[in-house]
Amino acid sequence: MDKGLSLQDVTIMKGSTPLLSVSHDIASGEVLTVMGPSGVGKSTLLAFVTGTLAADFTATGRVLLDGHDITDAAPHQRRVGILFQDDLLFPHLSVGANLAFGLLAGGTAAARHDKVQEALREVGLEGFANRDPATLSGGQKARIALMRMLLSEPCALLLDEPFSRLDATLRAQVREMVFDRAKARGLPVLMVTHDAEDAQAAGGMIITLGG
Amino acid sequence: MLNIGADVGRVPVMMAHLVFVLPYVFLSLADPFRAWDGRMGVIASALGASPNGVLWRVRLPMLLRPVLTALAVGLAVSVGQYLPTLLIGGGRVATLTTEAVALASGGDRRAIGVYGLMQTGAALIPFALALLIPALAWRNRRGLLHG
Repeated sequence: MDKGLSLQDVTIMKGSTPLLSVSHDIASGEVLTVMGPSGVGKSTLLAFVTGTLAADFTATGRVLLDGHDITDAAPHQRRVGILFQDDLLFPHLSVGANLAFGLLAGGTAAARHDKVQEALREVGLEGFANRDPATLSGGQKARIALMRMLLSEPCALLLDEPFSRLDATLRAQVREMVFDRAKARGLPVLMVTHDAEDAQAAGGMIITLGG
Repeated sequence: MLNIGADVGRVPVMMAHLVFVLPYVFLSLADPFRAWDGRMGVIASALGASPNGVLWRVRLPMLLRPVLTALAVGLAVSVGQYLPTLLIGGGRVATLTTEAVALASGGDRRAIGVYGLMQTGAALIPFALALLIPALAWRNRRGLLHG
């Protein structure tokens, strides 16, 4: 199989009650949106893809990323980036160290430094490397969280209601930025949301789950 | 303890102290350790950090203050052990506490005072450090100063 994220007959169950079933291929640069009210197991689907499913859920089906079966891979070896509705920047690290956290091992210190600087420049935050993440505005944090994730060079992008904490103007801006970057890097995107506007803006296929 | 040949010396005394110390350390660290936002761990693993990396590079640094406080509680409990030290140590392992108690029945007030202060310090200084170290280490990290 070629590039993309492929969910093959994925069924998530809580105990013996099935929560949801998805079977879909997401090609590079495409977006699949899973919509539904809270509590239907949308985030659990993402947890299954990242390999961090809670113990009281079980799942069947396979997850393929760029042709590799990652269903049983360790979470840190999956190359799957995720953004939550909170920015979740590491509060004990500077903005620069947050960005550097996900850099792949190897490369000289100077090369790593350059990558961080370049990422900051890309989102218009030059000179923020030594800042405390807690002093950033909501939009700045969202941009850093996005760049941190992209610097780890993921092969797929998962979004867990990533824009629901941002106010209306910022929301459109950040949303556009996230989808643009994902498209530019040819990443398959799997988004879960309960917001119809986000689902429309994503421009991809939408799967609606019942409540 | 006698059966495994650990009848005298510092090691058996330390082990006896741990019996009393560990529950307190566990109780004081368990809540903050569990209250930590698990999504931080998901993010860190998604960024390629191994489970050990998540623990040492993210979870423990973020929990620096509760970890140091738990350590201080443990030390304070250990400083307070008199009978276990005496019994397990066979009276041959001297700690600040055994000496202080021994002196307390004597008449040397100045020595008693010195030992009392040293005992206070042994319990107080770890707590002071548990306040001071995070305040210094995170002086530029607002997200951790009041959390």
